[in-house]
Amino acid sequence: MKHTCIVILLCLFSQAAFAQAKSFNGTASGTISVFSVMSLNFTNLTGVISFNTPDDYFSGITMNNAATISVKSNVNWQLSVSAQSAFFMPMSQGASTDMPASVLGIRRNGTTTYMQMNTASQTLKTGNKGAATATGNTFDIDTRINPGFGYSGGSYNIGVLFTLSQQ
Amino acid sequence: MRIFLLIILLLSPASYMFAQNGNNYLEVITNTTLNFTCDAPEDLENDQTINSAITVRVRSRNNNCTISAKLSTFLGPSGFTTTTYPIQIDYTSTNSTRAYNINTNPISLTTTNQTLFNQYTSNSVFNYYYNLILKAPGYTYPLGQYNYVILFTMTQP
Repeated sequence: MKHTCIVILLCLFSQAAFAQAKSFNGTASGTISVFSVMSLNFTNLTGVISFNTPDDYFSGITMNNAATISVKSNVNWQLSVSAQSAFFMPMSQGASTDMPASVLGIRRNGTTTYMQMNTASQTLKTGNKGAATATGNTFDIDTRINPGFGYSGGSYNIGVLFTLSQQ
Repeated sequence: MRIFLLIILLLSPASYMFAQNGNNYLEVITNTTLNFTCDAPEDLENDQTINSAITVRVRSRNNNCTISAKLSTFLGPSGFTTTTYPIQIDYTSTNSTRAYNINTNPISLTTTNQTLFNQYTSNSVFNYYYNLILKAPGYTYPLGQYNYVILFTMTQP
């Protein structure tokens, strides 16, 4: 018994000599919930377009960089465009009721082919998730309106719907 | 008798090194839920702050102490990989008269301990108040829920 106690005492001294720093802990916990976030912004939209010369009717009117579109998204995205109606809405007396949406063409600036508008959705651009400053998330569009000579003079209006969605 | 003494001998160092007791302890109080939600562009582009989110209560009667903090857990959804984390704690105030080396700048938490402050030995219990900040995560974090645990440690030499 005496030997045992001596051994214990020796061990205790040994522990004291090599004791590590004492530490005490506490915790706090929480969550971060990240949902799908998408944002679309238009700038520099052109207002009324006037057809004043014969050339306007022969060739149509093209507006390069008619608008700037900025996309913010934390998912890979797709931007589609469609006309809100199959025909332009006559806004003045005598204007035709049968001028189709396809008179209006839209393309992404830097591409060659205009998409003729109709009520079906067409993909204007796709992109990767990122802020508006991310490569490809801010771009310009060109528009062309080419009614030819088949419609009465007057004022016309048509709505164009841009739809931003997840790829 | 020998077995009894042996058990005491084996248990004593563990209790000596890790026990919290009335003389020396660290208590972390969350004053509100520490949850952040990002469901709008401004949530992703700007910092979010939970004011007076955390109170750290310290009593260190036996010795001076160092208080540090780190992320012991940061789990994200599939696809999440990072070595930097968006959580900061920001010291606001204390009622301590025994504190020194208080880091008053927002501290970006990592998985490594960072010192928050030191406290001289004292019989009193002191409170240290912190805001919790979610740094703007931007648009690249995968969708889903992230779970984090902040581990506060009081160390005495």
